[in-house]
Amino acid sequence: MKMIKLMRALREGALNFYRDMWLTVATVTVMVLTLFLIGTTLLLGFGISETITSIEKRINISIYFNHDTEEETITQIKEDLEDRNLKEIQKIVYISRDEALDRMKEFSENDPDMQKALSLLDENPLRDALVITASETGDYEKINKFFGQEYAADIAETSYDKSRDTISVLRDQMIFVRNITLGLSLLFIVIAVLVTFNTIRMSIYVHRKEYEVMRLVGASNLYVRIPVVAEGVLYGLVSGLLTILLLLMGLAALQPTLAGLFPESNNILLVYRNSIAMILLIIVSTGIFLGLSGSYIAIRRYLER
Amino acid sequence: MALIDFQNVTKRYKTGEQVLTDINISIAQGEFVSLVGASGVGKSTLLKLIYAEEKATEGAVFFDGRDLSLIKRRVLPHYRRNFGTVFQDAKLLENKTIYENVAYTLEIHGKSTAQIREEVPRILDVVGLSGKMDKYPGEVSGGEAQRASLARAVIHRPRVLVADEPTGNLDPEATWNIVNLLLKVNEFGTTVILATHDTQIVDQIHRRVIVLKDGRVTFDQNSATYTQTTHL
Repeated sequence: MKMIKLMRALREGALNFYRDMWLTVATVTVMVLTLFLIGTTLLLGFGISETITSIEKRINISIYFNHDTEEETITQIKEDLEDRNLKEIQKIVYISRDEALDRMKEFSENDPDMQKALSLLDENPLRDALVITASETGDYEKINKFFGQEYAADIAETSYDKSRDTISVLRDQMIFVRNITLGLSLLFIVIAVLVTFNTIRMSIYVHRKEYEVMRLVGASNLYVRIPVVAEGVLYGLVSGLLTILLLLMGLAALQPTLAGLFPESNNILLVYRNSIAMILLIIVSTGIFLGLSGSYIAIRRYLER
Repeated sequence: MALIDFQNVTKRYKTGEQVLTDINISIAQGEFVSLVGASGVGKSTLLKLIYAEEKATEGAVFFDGRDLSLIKRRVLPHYRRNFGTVFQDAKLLENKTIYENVAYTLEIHGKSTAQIREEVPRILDVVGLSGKMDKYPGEVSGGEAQRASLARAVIHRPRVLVADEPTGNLDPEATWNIVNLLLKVNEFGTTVILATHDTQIVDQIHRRVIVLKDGRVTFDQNSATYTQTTHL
């Protein structure tokens, strides 16, 4: 196809998008609704994922050493572990008993009772500790066991036994929520695809007589198809952008309510700082993909066979 | 050599309905042929066989010596550019202006924008629509729409103009407008095939008349009138 004809066909698509305003409005409305549904599910899914990650980052276990274990022994253990580069262990922090006491005092600054109790101590009762962050929540049990076997002689206790139940319950619940969201997203996406395809099919059906006319005056299949597909892509693009606008406005409106859930971030968008670009990209490209494939498939039956 | 040649053509639709039986017609370049018969007699099917919208069940249709059943789907659009078509309903594209409708044919043919800007107003002037270029089909009368349709059909100078009941919806004045335009197109060398059930027109034109009845050709004569056929 000559360049000039390609340009004409593309302009034709843009012109139809603009001239069939009511049809465009109807199609774009349906597409925005379905993309909005997909977007909401995505935001929910990613929100949960980010929350899980941030919770998981806060989980750790402390390995408490016997009072008579030398600080050098402990730092030696830390270095050994770091050298061994175990995949289950993400981070090891050494906190000496003095440091631990200082922190405790700091934390209880606004708690007179606690301060009083601390001031009565004539000896630091706390233990030196290694605080371990695991790569995955499921690794804590393994890590705990590992320390029990390798360094039993030096270890007084670990925090794992106390927090084991909390960790595993939290973990199970997070996985459950994640799976539910994933299932819902898939369901919504299937519905959205079907609805959008049908809407585009209808908008093409409205023009079916024109495709016949175009063929009669000598237009090739390609020349009939390009404007239709270009119009479909425009539907998708505009719907995608409108959906993004709606979602961002929705997030801004919900911000005061949602902010309470994520105390560490005063801006809800910060929760999505890692994923927002991807979410927006997914919405726009889903829109364009739906418009493109929907119109490409729907126009087929009206072309020369 | 004949431009269009029907050799023992029979057409049956998938439903089993046989619309044309054993048709043998030859049409030369530059002829004006009136195809007459009641509605449902197979006139439209015969025309569709010519511009390859349908294929013959038996026999063969030749255009310029080429067997149409052998034309590849891919080149059909190019084959159709030999034709201009006018129908009872003008079949204009509703969301395009009269100007754009006529220009569309030339756009498909890959003509330059300058050429389109020059030729479209000229042909619209010929059919008397200069003042209505920017109107949409919904904003003009039936006769005007039909003239626009005719302008679109001939702007690329087709070898054959196929008109299927082009005056079916028009009042007498608009009808004669169209008929005169068809004659004018024919004067410039374009073969015109006019399917109609309006016997008055046929008698006035006084050119070759082919009568179809129950899917068969019952009359085929040059410089004829329809009135003649009723005396057969």
